[in-house]
Order: sequence, then structure tokens, then C-alpha cells
Amino acid sequence: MGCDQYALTQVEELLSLFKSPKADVQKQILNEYLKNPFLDDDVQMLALRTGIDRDILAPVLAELRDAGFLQSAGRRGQMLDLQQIDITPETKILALPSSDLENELAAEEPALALAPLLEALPYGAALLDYDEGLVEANDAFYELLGLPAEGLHIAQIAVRLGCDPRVEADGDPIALVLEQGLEVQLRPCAIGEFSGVLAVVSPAALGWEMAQAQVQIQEDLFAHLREEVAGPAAFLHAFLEKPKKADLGAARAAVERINAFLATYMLDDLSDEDHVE
Amino acid sequence: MVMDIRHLLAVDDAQAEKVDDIKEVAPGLGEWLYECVEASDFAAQARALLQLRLSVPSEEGIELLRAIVADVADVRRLLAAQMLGHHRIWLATAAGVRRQVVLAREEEDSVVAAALVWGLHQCDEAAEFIGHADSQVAREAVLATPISRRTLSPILAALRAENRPEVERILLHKMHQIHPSLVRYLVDLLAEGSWGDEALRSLFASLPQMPLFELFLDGRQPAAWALGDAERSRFWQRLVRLVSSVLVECPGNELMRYLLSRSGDDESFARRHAQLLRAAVQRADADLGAVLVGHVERLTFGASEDKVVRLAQALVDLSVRLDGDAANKVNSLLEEWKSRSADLKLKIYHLEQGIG
Repeated sequence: MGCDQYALTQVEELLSLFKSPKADVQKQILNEYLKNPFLDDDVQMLALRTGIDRDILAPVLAELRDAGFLQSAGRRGQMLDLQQIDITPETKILALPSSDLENELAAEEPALALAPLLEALPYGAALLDYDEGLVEANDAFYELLGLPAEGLHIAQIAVRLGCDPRVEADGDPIALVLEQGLEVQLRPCAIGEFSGVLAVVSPAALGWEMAQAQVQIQEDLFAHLREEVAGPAAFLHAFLEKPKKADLGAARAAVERINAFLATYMLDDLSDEDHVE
Repeated sequence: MVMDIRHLLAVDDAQAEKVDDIKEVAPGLGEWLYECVEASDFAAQARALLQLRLSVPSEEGIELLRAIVADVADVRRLLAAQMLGHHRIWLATAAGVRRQVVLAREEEDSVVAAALVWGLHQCDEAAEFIGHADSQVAREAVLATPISRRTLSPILAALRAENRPEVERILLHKMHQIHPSLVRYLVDLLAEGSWGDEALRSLFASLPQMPLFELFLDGRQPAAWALGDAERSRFWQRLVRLVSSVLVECPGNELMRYLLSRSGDDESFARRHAQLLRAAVQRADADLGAVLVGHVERLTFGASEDKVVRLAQALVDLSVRLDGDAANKVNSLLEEWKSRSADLKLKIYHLEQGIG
């Protein structure tokens, strides 16, 4: 294999990472329907027609039905869903705003109506479509996640979050905590005819810093305990098992270290009380 | 006695209104077709298509569609051909089917011809186009052709030709659904032409295994045509060999269960097919093996020692191929049998040592 060929293969493999494995199957099926818009094959016939295994075909057909490309025909057949075709992605989103006025504005300028709304939010927010990936996001979303605003692919978001947000938020809302105290909430979002996922990214800085500080204090305490108490205590235990006169000084020093530790944490009063009793 | 059917001939007012409704569709049909073909955007095309899909053409509408298809200069002919395939009220009469066949036969544009053949789906008449010179039409024909007594001959001719992999793939897949009662007729048709080994092997691998076994391996008599002359007799023997090798290579669940059940019940059957059963068991995959162990366990529950011995060989062969729970089950079953009597224990021991 020559260098050029190798490079091309690598590029193809890399590109395929960002493509859904079912995309080719979906394309092949839709091609058949576009060739003959009256086609109403059942799964078995479609499997024969396309040469795709039924087990692969059935879920893909279900997805295409859910996405509004196909509809059921007869008992088991599928046909092109022509009623859905004139609904463009922009108009889908534009059914979102609650007031009539917003609806009207959105109908006039679909892409612009949603953007100011998202920009006004005090945290990062993005709308993700199940089929098309990223639909709209505000600047804070890109900044907080450190992702490029131009040409951002859903796969890059998935890599950043460690999961595909559309799959994760398929059921109940979930929250992910990333490094640097970033909290990402993913919740299914169905407003009007739009159906997808709303991703909200918030810094959650105070809570995260407190949690980090707590963890650090705990770690320090354990390290100190190990050094100043556990070590001397082990020595004392060995000394009491086999007392040697030569070790007496070291044993006393061990007790002093333990006392010093207790004094540091203001626990020496308790030991004094025990001693008196 | 004559059945009074006068009430069927009488058309009441409601029916008359319905017929009128349908007829009203015909005038708009041609325009909708134009609208669909010449639509400037996809949404407009979709609306026109939806209209065409929902409109049930009357007799006049069907005639109009046929006329559009027949006019080679008409830009709407592909859509009209597809619409004829969608609204198949012409199927109700033999004349309607004949007209469709004639249209497809005379069509020179392969895309339109394929659409017309698609309209014949699940009709035996589609088989006529399996050997069509254009591969697109032939593909649509094999998809449309049902497996029946009438269509088997052209189907086998296409498989025998071995020159269109796509057509063969679809046909062989369809052969899985052939009714078992048709297998004997299919085998009789095999004698009509010359076959390559690979084509026959693929065909047999696609047919239901039980009728093949009964016909070629369990039946004592060859087909009547095989007794005619030496060449045909040799061809029959070739078929027997191929069927045997196909069944052994990929034995199905149903065949294996049948072989085990009959071998347990019938000593002469067990002797006759011991080699086949053993070879098939040795090739059974782990999943099938696990199923068969359960089957043998059920067959030998409270069975005589003779029956157990006849099935023990199969179980010993299976034990080599299985692991995990299935292997443990085989071993415990063999141990249970060994505990029945010293004689049985010795025989199973010999089988395990390969000296049975």
C-alpha cells in the first residue's frame, strides 16, 4: 500500500468514527423509497430488496418511522411518510416559544429566534436533535466545554462529555460532573414538534471547590495520622511485646509524637482526663 | 338448484354514490401526475404524491394510467407505472393482469418496465420476467415472484444460469419459505437441465431439510424419472451425495431432533443413518449442541437400555464439542446412565474410549 493510499484509508477510518454505523443502512433504505415513492414493502421484502439482515433492518426501520421518514402501511408494510416531508428542521424548532408573538417571530426568522433566547441564559445551553446532532448552542456552552463554535460535530461533544448526550438523556434527566467543577445536565426535551435533548452546562464552582477542599483535608488528615500516630503506635506495640531498655527512649519519643498530634487537633484534654481517671 | 344472485347485481343508491366518488378522481389524475413530475421543490412533490397515493383511480383512471405508460414521449410514465402498482384494482380480473403483463413485456425503458413488474408482486405472472435481459427488471421480477408450482420452472432456470448473483441471492433466500409439499416437484424439475455442483449445493442449502432428507436419504426408492436411463440414475445419485453433504455440513435443529428421536425409537433407522447422525452431530455448533443435549435427556427419561445405547454415541460425540454448563450436563447424564447397569457402563466407557 502506497503512502497516499495509506493516508486515504486512515482518513476514511477517522471519518467513519463520526458517522453512525446505521447511517449507510438508513441511506440505502431511503434510496429504495425515493426510487419508488409508492413502495410499501414489509421488513422481509425490504431485507430481500436491500440484502440487509432483518435483525439490522428492523430497528433501523423503527428509527426511520420515529424520525418521520416512514410510516406504517397495512399490517406490516412501511411507506414513505409524505406528510412529514415539508417540515424542515428550522420549523420544527420554531414551534418552541410559548407565546404567540414569539411564534410569529420565530416563523419569520427561524434560526435567529432561538439564538438570543439561549444567549440570554446565565449558563451554557445547547439543543441537540436525535437525528441531526447539535441544533443550537450559546457561547457559554462552547466556552465552558472548551469546544470550537464553528463546525462542531456531535461526536466531539460526545468525546468531551464521555458519552453521547442523546443516548444518555433518552430516558430520565441525568447530571454529569466533569473536571474543574463543570456540571452538565442532560434532559429529554420535547417542545412543540421538536424532540431532542437540552444540555445545560454550569460551572458549579463553589460546591465543587468545597468538595475538593473537603477531600484535601481528609487526605491530609489521614496522611498525618499515618505518620504521627500509626507509626509510633506500632513501635509502642512492638516495645510492649518485647521491652528492651535500649528502646525506652524511643518509646518515650513515640508517646511524645502521639501527644503532639493530639495537641495539634486539640484532643489532648481527653487523654488527660482518661489519665486522671 | 340455482343460487339467487339477483341481489348482488342490484346496485343500491349508496353504492352508486360511491362509484361516482371514485369516478370523480379520474379528471384530476393527469394533472396531479404533472404536478408531481414538474414540482419545483420536494414539499410540493410530496403533496402531489400524497394526493396520488390517496386517490383510488376508477376504470377510466386505470385506462388513463395505461395510456400514459404506453406513450413513450410522456414524462409521467414512470410515475404512472408506479401508481398502477400501488392501486391494483386491475388485479380483480384476469384481463387486467394480462394488460399489465403486456405493458411490461412491451416496455423498452428498463426503469418503467421494472416499475410495471413491481406492480405484479405476488402474481405468478411476474416469473415471466425473471430471465429479462435487463438486470433491474429481472431483480424486480424475482422480488415480485411468489414461490409456487407455476413459478418453480423459471426460478430454477435462473438459478441454473448462475450469471446474476443478486437474482440468485434473492431467489435462494425465497427458497427458505418454499412449502415442503413443493420440494418433490422441484426435485423432479431438476432433471430438466444440466446443473453445476455449486448451484445445486446452494439450492439444497436453501431448501427445508426435512423433505430433502425424506426424499433423498430416508426414502428407499429414487424418483420415477431416475429409473429411465443410466445417465438420469447417475444424476440422482449425484443429487443424493450433494444432499447428504449439505445436510451434514449444516444440520438444522428440526432435522437433528428428528434423527435423534427416530434413532432412539427405531433400531434399523439408527443403523441406516448412524454415519449421517454422527457426522452431523460432530459439526453441530455449541448452541445447537446444547439444545440437542436437552432433547436427548428428554428422550432417554425412563427409556430402555437399548435406546440409551443407541443415543449414547451421539451424546459422547457432543461432549467433545461442548463446554461450560452443557458439557457438565452431558457428563452428568452419561454418569447417570453408567449407574444403571454394569453392561451399560461398559458400553458407554467403550464409546468414550472410541472403541465402541
